[in-house]
Amino acid sequence: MDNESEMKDPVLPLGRPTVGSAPGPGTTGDWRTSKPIFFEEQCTKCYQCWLYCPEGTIRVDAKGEYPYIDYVYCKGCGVCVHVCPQDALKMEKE
Amino acid sequence: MRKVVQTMKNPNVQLLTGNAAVATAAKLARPKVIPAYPITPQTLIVETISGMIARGEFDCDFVNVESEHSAMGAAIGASLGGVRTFTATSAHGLLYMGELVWWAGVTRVPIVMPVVNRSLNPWNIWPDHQDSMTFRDAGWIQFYAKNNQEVLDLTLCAFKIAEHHKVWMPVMICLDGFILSHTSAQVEIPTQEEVDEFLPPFKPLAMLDPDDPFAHGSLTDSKGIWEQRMSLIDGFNNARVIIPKVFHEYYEKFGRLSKEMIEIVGDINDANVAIVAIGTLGEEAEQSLEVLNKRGIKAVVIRPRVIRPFPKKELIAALRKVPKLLVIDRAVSFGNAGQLAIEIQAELYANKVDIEFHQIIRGLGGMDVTYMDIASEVGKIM
Repeated sequence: MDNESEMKDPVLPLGRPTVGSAPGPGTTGDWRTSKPIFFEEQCTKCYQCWLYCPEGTIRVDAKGEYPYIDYVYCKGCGVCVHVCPQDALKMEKE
Repeated sequence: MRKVVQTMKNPNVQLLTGNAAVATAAKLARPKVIPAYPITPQTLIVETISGMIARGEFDCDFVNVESEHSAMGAAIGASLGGVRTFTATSAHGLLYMGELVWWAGVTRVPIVMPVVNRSLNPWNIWPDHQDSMTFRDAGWIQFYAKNNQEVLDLTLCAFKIAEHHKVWMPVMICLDGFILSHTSAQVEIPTQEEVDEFLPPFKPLAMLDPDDPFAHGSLTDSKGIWEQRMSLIDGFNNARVIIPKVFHEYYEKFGRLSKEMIEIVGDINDANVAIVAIGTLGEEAEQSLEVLNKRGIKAVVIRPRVIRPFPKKELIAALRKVPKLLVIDRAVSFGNAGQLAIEIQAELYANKVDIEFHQIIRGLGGMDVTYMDIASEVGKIM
């Protein structure tokens, strides 16, 4: 092992950003026990759900569009259901 | 060691304290960031360096931090930012930066940091090795210097060793407070050109870069920790080979240090007893050889100048040649014994070395240990 080229290189504790925040594939939607269901007909596009979602998993593509939920990352916390003034969101067991 | 004498031909020999030798070596190594907080007996390192930078003597950012914890935090950040980084501390300062000392050690951040050895609680500013010995398991390479010249030499080598891509870990250079830090002695100072030839510019293995983002030391599972710890063990094994090589390069260029991680003074092939001690205790032990010789005792001093990685092979090769051994520790692992004694005993047993083993603890809290004291301790075991 006196030959420098045969020596092992250091393993550095470097973490690259991946999609999602959790270890592994980062699909935090797996953590959910119940999920919010969106009812378009009751929605007034006030976007309170989009504003309050702590994980940014409620998306609005353009002003005037309906919001939608990204279930790959939604952890099912229910904050959106709680803040919706129109009862356009309901929790449902997985 | 080459005799250092100032002559008209050698104007580079100056009277320097250990702290000034550290500051001079740091300047010659051209670090780009120095975050540091003053603490007795290290204060003059920080004062001297901040003065040099304020006067524009070298191009470096001095970060006037509010604590040692912040000093090491800033040093880690700066080093990961891709520049050569230096800091210095002592005793309580080292303990206060403790968490970050471990961060730098086990996550491989190649910072160079002299530790001016000082006793720990209760308040005492005088030297023993309790502070740096407490951190011998923290993943840092540790050097112990015997005089001001070796302080300068080891500090320059430390950068080259820390930044070697097969080592890539931080280095502590330990020097006894006051005995070295505040005592002037002749030190031969290499020129900037010579140091630039010896020490190439900092080449980062990984560098924080907004265009290629990564996190350093984020949440790691047991598999990742295992992989990193095994790599650190490999890194220290690599360092066992790289350190003597760098010392030898230094010797070839400047005529000081040898390629050994230990220094042997006296005739090991004709000795009845070996004394093992580190730092200034090692040099003091050298002074006792003449006294012992007059008393008919043929002694030899074995002084490890590197404690991490522990120079097992060199020590065992030397200790096989002597029938008796006295280990002098200047620190204690409470509940067991002096750290040097514990580790040497383990190696003696593992290598089946037949030797009469003796250990003493001396010089705690700055208590004076003279060459006559050492001679009398050796006399007691003969």
